[in-house]
Amino acid sequence: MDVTRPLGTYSHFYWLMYLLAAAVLVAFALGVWLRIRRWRRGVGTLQERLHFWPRRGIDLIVDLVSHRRFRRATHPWLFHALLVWGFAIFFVGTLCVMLQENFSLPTFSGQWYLALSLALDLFAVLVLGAVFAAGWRRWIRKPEELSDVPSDSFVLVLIAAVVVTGLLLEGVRIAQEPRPWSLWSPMGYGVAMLLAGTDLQTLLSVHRGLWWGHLLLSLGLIAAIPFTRLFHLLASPAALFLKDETAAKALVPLDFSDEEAESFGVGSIEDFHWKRLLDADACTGCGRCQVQCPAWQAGKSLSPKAAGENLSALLAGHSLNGNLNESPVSFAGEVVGEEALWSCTTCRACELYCPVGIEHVSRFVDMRRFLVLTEARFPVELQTAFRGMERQGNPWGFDYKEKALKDGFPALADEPQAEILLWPGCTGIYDPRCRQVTIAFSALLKLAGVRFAVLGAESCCCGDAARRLGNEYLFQDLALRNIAALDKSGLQRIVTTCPHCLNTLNNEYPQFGGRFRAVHHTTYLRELLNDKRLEMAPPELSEAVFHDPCYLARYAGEVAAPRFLLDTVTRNPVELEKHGEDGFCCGGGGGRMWLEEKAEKSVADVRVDQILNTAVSTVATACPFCLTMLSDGMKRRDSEVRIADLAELLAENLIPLEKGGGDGKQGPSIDHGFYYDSDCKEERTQGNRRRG
Amino acid sequence: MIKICVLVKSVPDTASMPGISEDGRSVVVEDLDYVLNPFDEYAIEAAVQLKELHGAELTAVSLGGERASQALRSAFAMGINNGVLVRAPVATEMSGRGAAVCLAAALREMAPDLILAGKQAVDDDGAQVAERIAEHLGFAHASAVNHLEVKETSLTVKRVFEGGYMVLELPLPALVTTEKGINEPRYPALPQILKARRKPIDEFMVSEPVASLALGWEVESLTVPCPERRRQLLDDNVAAGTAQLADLLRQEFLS
Repeated sequence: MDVTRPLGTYSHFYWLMYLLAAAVLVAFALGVWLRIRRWRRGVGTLQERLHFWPRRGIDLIVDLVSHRRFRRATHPWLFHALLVWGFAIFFVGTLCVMLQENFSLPTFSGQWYLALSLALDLFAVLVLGAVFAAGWRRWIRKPEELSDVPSDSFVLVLIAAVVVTGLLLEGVRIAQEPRPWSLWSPMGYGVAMLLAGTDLQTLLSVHRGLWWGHLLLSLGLIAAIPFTRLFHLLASPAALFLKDETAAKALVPLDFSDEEAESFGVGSIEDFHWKRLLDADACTGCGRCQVQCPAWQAGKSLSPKAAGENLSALLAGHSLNGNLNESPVSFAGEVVGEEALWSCTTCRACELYCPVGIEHVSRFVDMRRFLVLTEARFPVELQTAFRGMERQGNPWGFDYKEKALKDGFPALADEPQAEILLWPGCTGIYDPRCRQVTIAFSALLKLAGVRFAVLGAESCCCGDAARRLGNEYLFQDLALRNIAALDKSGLQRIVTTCPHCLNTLNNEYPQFGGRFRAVHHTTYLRELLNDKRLEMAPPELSEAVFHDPCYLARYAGEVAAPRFLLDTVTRNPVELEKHGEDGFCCGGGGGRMWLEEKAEKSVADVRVDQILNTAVSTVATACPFCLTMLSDGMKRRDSEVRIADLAELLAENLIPLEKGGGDGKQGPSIDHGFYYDSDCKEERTQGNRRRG
Repeated sequence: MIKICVLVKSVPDTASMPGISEDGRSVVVEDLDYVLNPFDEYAIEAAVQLKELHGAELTAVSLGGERASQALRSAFAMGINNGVLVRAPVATEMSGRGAAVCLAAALREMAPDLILAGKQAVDDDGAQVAERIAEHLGFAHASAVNHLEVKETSLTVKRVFEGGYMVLELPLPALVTTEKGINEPRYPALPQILKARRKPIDEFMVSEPVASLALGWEVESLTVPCPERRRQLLDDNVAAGTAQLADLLRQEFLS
């Protein structure tokens, strides 16, 4: 006897089944077409997102099978994986039936049939369990971040109904005609046991009813895909396949060659790139982005999820009036709320945790660009920063010639043998606290015998803040100035103490022909220690913790070098709960450094509280923004916890402090030749001596 | 429709430090970054707001050459419709008196109802050109106003001074110079900045006799002010420290 199950019992009805299937396919195609049509309202071509397509395909399959993107967060993910895996098995099972029945291939017989039967039954149970878990979350626990529209529940019930009718159908069939291998369908066998004794006629008519029920429900599920949240079955894999991994790292440049242009940036649906619109439809409202968003955690109104959902609703032609707290005065106001838009720190936590690879950050920058460039509407304090960058090449508006790094740092002209170019960024030059880091790092370079130079007045702000605040025009101006200066320097190896500069130099300047190789100072210091150009000293600090700057950990992927350095300065390196790629923003990125904090609680406050819960006395970081934001945050909490750059801690460890020079927390001493004072070096020195 | 002229000037960015020429008699301006005079921004913004409110024909007027036309383009970007570059018959440095003569010649022909200007240009801080022009044209004028309201045939302005303010009603035509605080000058939108670059600028050649524009004085020498900040730490004993401070102040006063 052939090991299989009877197929084609209702083949005389197949004409109707195919007719229904055709109708469902038409509805499905129509629904998909409508969605694609609305994405096509955006700009850009499909080709832009198809390069390296085999790689994209492999990544997508790994994403789907492994659920690696889901597993990054502490959010529950297993139930989703079971649904995906289960329906994949159901699809294979159905396909096998079709191949055997229509093409007489042995795809539904023999040992393969037994294994498949077992797998189908097993996954039917797992899928039911998953639906139960999902329902429990959605209807009982109701997590705040989870979006819930009525059709979401409908879909869950429909999935359960398809699986239950399938199992019952199997059970009734087995009850009619038990086989020796029926136990390979344990669930169906169980149902059959329950039906034992039912007369054949009843079984036959119940079977027919269930067959139709199962068929109609399954077809209904397929038809529902384009019209419910199930559409993510198509849109989310599409979003993953078509994603631009560098979207936030290297924002798309705007073209300013058309002097008659009336609009720049995104001020309407039509201005968006089509992928942003697809992203809006790919969102399932799981809310991971919202949970991870530091601005949201600080109690601000920014929710990356809401932005996507609002955009999707706008795409569907719904009006959002009344949906937002503020009355929308602009497209950005309607999509996310203008205040919320300015709260984004571009930390990329949302993007890291989004299971479907939505490019949140660039979506926000797109809308900021319109507000800044086309409408010139932005928080008023930014005007000073923009003007400063325009005129003096730094957001403070300090005179760049006057403040050039003449006191202590060697200029390129004085150091023709330089092996590296030190790029302190504008904070590392102008901000007195951050300048201490540049001094400490230079002292280490000097100790290691590294010959280095700075560009001084020829370079200006890298433009990271301008670009992420939406002032692309200003950014391009700054970028071109720097690229010209860097090209002229002839130095290829750049070491920067700022992760924001690092990202801009490495990932964004190539868009304008600047090909440089910048490394972060923590990476470089590790290299010096490994090469024995710097001698290790016994660690002195008791316990210390490293706060990962977003632009170092998430943008540049560098989490190891800072920890290597931390281990050299402390006997007891501790980790914060949120660290590494999973780190929590200081609140200074995305130009937030130049925006006033209007909310009661800042992102820095949240981070500072997390740090205080860890009970450490020293927090090391490696970014001037983190240094500033966290130091200010600690002051607001009246805390004694020290925030310092790793270069400062290392310098303190390796360079003996001059007795009486400073209070012991000021980094390397004056005699190392890099002491800086904004006004007058000599008098400050005297002042210090007197105090000593 | 009311016709408003706004006087604008390119001035060195106050953040940049000028040098002094070798003969010690003039400022080296070649390396300086020039920007629109910040007080003129208030005048432009006031004019643009009047246009938005009542409708007005706006013309920016600047005296000079290439640099002056940059000031006009900045004014365009902020919303001024027309620009007139006033070219002096001589390319020498002019005093406020000479500049006023040149600008008044142009403005007399343009016959505006209202002239707006910044209360002073932050380069030499002369703070006189606008008032001189008003006198040349016989316009009523008010300086350093921080509130402005235009009516049919007159305008009301408010001038704030230490301890109070005064409200003046001026008949049109009039000239008003703007003080900080009258408004928040807009950051121009990019499409306007790009369009401003190609906007045509009218030129007005001044035909006044050169002699009347002469500077009227000679510069003997220039020195850079030395913003010396001295730091002295005094005894942390309050009584001793206070005595030291008193001594220091006394020396400072006597010297």
